[in-house]
Amino acid sequence: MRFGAGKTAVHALDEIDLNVRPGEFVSIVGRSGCGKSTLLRCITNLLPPTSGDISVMGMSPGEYQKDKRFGFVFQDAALLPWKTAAENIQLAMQLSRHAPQAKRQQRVRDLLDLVRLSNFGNKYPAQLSGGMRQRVSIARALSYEPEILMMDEPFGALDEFTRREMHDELIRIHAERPHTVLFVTHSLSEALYLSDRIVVLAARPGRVKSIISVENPRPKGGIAHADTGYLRQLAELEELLHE
Amino acid sequence: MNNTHSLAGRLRQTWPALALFGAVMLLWEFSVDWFDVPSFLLPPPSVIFLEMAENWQMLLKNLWATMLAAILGFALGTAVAIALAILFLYSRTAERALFPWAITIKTIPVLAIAPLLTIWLGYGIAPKVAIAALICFFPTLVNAVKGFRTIDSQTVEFFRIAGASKAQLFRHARLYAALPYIFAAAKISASMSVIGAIVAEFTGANSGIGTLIVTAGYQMDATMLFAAIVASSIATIALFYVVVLIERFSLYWPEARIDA
Repeated sequence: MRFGAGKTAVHALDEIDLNVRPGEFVSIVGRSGCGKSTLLRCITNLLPPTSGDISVMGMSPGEYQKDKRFGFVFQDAALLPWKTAAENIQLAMQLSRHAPQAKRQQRVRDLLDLVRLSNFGNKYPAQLSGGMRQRVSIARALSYEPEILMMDEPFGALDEFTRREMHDELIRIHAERPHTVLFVTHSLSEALYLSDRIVVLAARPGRVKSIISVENPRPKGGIAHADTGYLRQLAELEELLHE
Repeated sequence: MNNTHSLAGRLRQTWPALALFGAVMLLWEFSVDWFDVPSFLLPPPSVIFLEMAENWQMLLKNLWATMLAAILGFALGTAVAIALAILFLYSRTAERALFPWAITIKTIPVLAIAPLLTIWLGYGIAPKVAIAALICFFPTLVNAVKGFRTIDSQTVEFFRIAGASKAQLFRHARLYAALPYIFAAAKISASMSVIGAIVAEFTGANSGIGTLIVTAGYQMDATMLFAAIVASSIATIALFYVVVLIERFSLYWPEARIDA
C-alpha cells in the first residue's frame, strides 16, 4: 500500500497480509508512526491506498462502506458538543439512514442501556467523564448495527482505572453483540486482555512483524492480569516490539 | 456556590463599578462648582441630565436614525461576511481571489471612504448602513472562516463513515462550531457599527447623533455634545447586550462560549 502521489508519496504500509474472521477480536499493536491508524483508515476507505488490494466480505472498502458501513470509535470520542449523548447516537442513525425514525428513540434507549448510561442520555459530552464519553461513542458506532467495528486507540486518553473498567465493559458488549473488531492500541497488556489475535506491526514502512494467537482469550472473572500464560505472552510481545 | 444570577449575587459583583461611577459623578458635579469651570467648557452631570430630559424627543429621534442605520449595517455586514465565509469553505479558488479584496477594504480608513459613500448614496440612511456594514464585515469574516473550519478531523471522519453528505456535515457540525466565533465577532462589531453610522453622519446626513454632534460642535454647545455622547453610549451598550442575549440563547450547550 502506498499513499500520496509524486514526490510527496509516503511509503506508509507495506505487505500487510491479514485475514480476519467474522466475529474475531483482532488487535493491531506497534510503535507510534508504524501506520496502525492508517491501516484502519485504508480498510474503512477514509484513505484510499495507491496500490494493494483490500477485500471486506468480498467487497472493496468503498463498496462495503456504501452497502453496510463500518462502526468507528475514535481516540477522542469525537462526539458533537452541541448534542446530548442521546442526540449524538440518534444522529448517527439519521445520517446512515438506519431504522425508521419512529424506532430510533427506542434504539437509543437500548444502546444507552447497553453501555450502562441509561440516566445520562440528556447530558452533553462536556458533562460526562472521559470514560462515559467513550461509552457514548461506542453506542454511537453500534447504533447502525455494523458487522465490523474499528477502534482507534479508544482508551488511550483515559486513566488506568477507567481504562481497565472500559476493558471489561468492552468484553461484555462484545459478548452481548458479537462483532468483528479491529482494535488499534499501543498497550500490549490491553491487546492481550481483549483480543483473539494480535498483529504486531513494524515501522517505516509499516509491515506485519508477527501475528500472535492469544492462548486464553477474554477469560471469565477478569483474573487474566495475573495468569501465567498471560504474563508469558506479554513478555513475548515485549520482546517482539523491542527487536 | 454560584449565585451570579441572583440579585444579591449580581449586586456583589457590580457594586465596585457602581460605587466608582457614583463617586466620579459626584466629584465631577462638585469640582465644576468649586473650581469655577465655566459651563460651556465642562457642564456638570446635573446640567447634562437636565438638557437630556428637556430635549428627549429630539435626542430620541436622532438616536433612532443612527441606531436603525447601525443595526441594519450590522445585520448586512454580518450576513455578507458569513455568506462569504461559507463560499470560502467550499471554494479555495474563491477564497484566494476574494480574500485580498477583503483585506484591501479593511485597510481603507472609514473616515476617507465616508464622504465618497455620501456622494454616491446621498444624505439618507444608505451611506450610514454601508459604512456600518463595512466596519462589521471584516472581523466577522475572519472569525467565521476560522469557525467553520474548527471541527476536528475525527468529526469529519465520523460523518464520512456514517455516510453523511457535505450539507449534513455543515448543518450538524460546522454551523454549530462556527457560532461561538461568529458571536465573538458580533459582540465587537455591534458597538463598532454605531461608531460607523456616526462617522457617516459627520460627512453629511439629514439626522442622527453624528449630525447632532457636528451641529453642537459648531455652536460650541458642550452640554449638547455630552448629551449626544451619553445617549449614543447607552444605546450602544443596549445593542451589545441584545447580542449577548441572543448569544446566550444560541450557545445553549456547556463550554460553548469563547471569551472575547
